[in-house]
Amino acid sequence: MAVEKISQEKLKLLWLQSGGCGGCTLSLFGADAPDLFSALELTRIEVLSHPSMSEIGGRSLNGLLTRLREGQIPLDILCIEGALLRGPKGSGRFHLQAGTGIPMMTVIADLARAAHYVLAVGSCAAYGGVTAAGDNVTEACGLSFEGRDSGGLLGPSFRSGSGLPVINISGCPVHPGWVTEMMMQLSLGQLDASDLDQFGRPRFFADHLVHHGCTRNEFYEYKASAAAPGQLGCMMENLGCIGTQVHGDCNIRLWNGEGSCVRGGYPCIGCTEPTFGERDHPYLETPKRGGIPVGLPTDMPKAWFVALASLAKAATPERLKRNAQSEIIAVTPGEAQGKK
Amino acid sequence: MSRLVVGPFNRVEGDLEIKLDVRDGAVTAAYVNSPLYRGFEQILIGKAPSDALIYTPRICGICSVSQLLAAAKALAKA
Repeated sequence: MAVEKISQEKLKLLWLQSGGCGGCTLSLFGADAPDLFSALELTRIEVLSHPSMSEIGGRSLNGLLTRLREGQIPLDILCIEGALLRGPKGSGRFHLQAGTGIPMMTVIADLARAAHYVLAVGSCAAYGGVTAAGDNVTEACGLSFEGRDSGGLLGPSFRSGSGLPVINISGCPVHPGWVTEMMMQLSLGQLDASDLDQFGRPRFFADHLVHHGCTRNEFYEYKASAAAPGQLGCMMENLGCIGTQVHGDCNIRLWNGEGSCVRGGYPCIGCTEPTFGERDHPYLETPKRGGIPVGLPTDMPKAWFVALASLAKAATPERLKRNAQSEIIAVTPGEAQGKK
Repeated sequence: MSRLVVGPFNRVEGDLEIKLDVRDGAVTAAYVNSPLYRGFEQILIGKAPSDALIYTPRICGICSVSQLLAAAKALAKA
């Protein structure tokens, strides 16, 4: 699909928050190589307003929003953080814009129609996320999805001025690099529909699995599993880790320069997925049927997985068996057997 | 008497709106309103206790560690 290129002038970005925790902004502030402000400079993006970065507020902010909505100032990039709250009873009154009394969902929908690109920053804005969990009393949804179903606040056929659907930079929170990389792609006018997956996620991170680059891979290969939090083994069999199914480059890109959830001893809970926020079993436990974990890697026949796992378990070296259920390395690897 | 409605505010987590009653140049009453309701208090009902470790840090992106520690301490005590 051909996407109209935008001019060489500075791209104007507006960032608004609704039903969320602000954690995606906090994560973005942790950007490094480049840091956020360098990234903005490099991409020639001018932030018109961001709740945590800008001085503008009150009447001046509302005046700016009106001019953007009416097209007096071009709105190149609209970033929304937090879910859209449609309740109670579709009125949107669970989040009124301060100072105006207008439902935030209305403010956001009007601006989305005026924007060239619309970015949902974080799983709440993309799919509803944790804000839509439980009984979802606030009727929370994402901009163009509600969980896995397209629709959300703007409807399934929504396209922004660029002709693209909402760009869903999911994650709870987002990786700062996912946002700055998207800014670069947008500033170069190089994003088209084939760069997004079926849930609107940028493929530069969604074409990977969290499993890729997991440092516990040797334990996974031999099904040498941790039995309790804090232990070194693979967390898939007992501790609820679903990194083999979850889309994200967390263990390739790494967080804060060097870490990831699993490297920190925490199972992957699937925060980039459209279903994040609700699960039919406790997050930190692996549900099993007949002793076999439910929810194996999605693109492998179950019987093969079970056969392979049994074989691997039978072949597990003592070192991995013991280390898997230890909090520190109990048995060190033997001497390498190369040429003398 | 006149009434001033102030908002949106920046650099606060969550939304805030302030109404001020002003008489002869002096504020006679101030009302603080939070025009955002997320229903977070109800999300954990019916969930496994350990799920608190997933949900509570997401109450607030600024104080997520404090929320998580409080949940962990509560779970350890239970």
